[in-house]
Amino acid sequence: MKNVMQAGIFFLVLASAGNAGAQTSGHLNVTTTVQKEEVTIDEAGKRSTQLVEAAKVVPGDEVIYTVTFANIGDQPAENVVITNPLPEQLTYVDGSAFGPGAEIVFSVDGGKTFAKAGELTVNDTGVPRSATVKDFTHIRWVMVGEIPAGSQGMSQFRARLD
Amino acid sequence: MKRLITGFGRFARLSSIVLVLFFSQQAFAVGTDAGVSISNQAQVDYAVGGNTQEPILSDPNGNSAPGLASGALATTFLVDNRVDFTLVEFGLIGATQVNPGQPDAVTTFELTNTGNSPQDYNLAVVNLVGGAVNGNTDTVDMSNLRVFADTDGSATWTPADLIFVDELLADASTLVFVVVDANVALVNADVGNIEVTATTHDAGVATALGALTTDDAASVDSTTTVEVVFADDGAGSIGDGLEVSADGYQVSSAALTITKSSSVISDPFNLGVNPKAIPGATVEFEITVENTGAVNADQVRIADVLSSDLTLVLGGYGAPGQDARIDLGAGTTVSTCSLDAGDGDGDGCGTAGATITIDPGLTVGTTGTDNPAVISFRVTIN
Repeated sequence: MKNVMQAGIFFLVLASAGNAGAQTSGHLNVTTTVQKEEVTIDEAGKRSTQLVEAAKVVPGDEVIYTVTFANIGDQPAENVVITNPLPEQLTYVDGSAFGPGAEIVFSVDGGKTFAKAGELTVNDTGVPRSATVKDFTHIRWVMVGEIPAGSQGMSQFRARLD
Repeated sequence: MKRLITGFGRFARLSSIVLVLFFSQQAFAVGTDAGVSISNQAQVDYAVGGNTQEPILSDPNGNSAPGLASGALATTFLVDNRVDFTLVEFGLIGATQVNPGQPDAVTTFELTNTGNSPQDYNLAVVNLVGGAVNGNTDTVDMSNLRVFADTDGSATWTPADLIFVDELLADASTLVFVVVDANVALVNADVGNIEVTATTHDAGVATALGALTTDDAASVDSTTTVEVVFADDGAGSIGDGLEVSADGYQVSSAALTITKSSSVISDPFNLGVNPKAIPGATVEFEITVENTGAVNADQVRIADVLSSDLTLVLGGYGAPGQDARIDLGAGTTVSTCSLDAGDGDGDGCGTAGATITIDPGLTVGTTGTDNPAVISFRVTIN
């Protein structure tokens, strides 16, 4: 439980989701959702944002992917690594990757190697250069601690539709 | 999923939604095509009790079945139709010069589909009333307004061009031609400004204008249908699917000023010294044609009827046959012609009874070399 307390944002799964499925399935239940941010202006002219289903997305719009992983087993999940390939039509929004208790690394070579965003280089013209968000092919969240049984974690990033 | 959303304060929902805006609808020349499905699937690797487990793929509704062949579905959404385009003056920026009576005078615009889906565009053109385009204030209307798309890609107007833009691909451009007639009654420096409106229509059927495209702001959105989003800079916050652009025609015509003067050259008594206009005196008529317009006046023809008190002097400018003098540009070019009966020698100058006609294919231009034209002939007072 120590790691859970450090991360502080893990959610307890309260009830039934687990046991029946756990016998035939793995220990984690993994969900990816895609949403977009919507700005609303109320009658008083106050702006606020909310997340809605990514039902209407046109080039230039940003979408938000959220991966949740719930430990539905009865043992802690160790060395949890979430790897998310970036769809080719999307460009990662710099600095948007988010994941409580995770170290976030990126790949520019189709997922073969990963490093922190500022440490990646690309050699596409014969002269190595620093990678930009356009070069990113994968995002990876490496969980520092365990996911205890009955807990869940999340990872999130934004990407812009080209 | 609900649990997660409500766990974050910044995701709080708002009860009173008056107006909904979407992020980042800035100009975007190229984009992912409408209708493309974007799919994404995360993979989770982990270990239990020190033993590496089979990875688990994500599913929009959650998946716990291990393995890369678990049947878990990717999370997808469909790229929607971002309607945007530009319509701008093309080629000559400024008024197109026309002559009075000129048919089929063309101004050119360029329409570029900056959206992400093929579209048709309806075209319309109207005369503007008042106001200025490119600094030229509108004063008159043009006639027989027509508008065409450059259907054959020839970059010039041909009558076979369609009157709408057909199946314009995303990021593609076409020329749009406005074709007008200039009324013959127009005068130099008249300006007729026009305005083209292009309205987005659905593509899909070649050589036919599709239905008017409508924004789907009011309809229920879905991840599995292509919605239309007007992203053009229309009158409202969400665009209106139409663009307008204006241009103008400026009438370019010759404007001739004719003055006639006479001077007594000699009389029988005083000869050339302060001659008086008495019977027997020789008088020179000068007809000055000045062009204050913008273009040459061609085929300028002068006719004059001599009073019965006057007799035309033949050979008045030297040799026989040099009866009238034509001076272009204040001495730049001086010539003579013969005022023979019926213009028997065919030089364009002749007489018919008392009428003198001087029509030697004269051009009065706009520069000092052929403007003004001064036509002179001499008479004696009976």
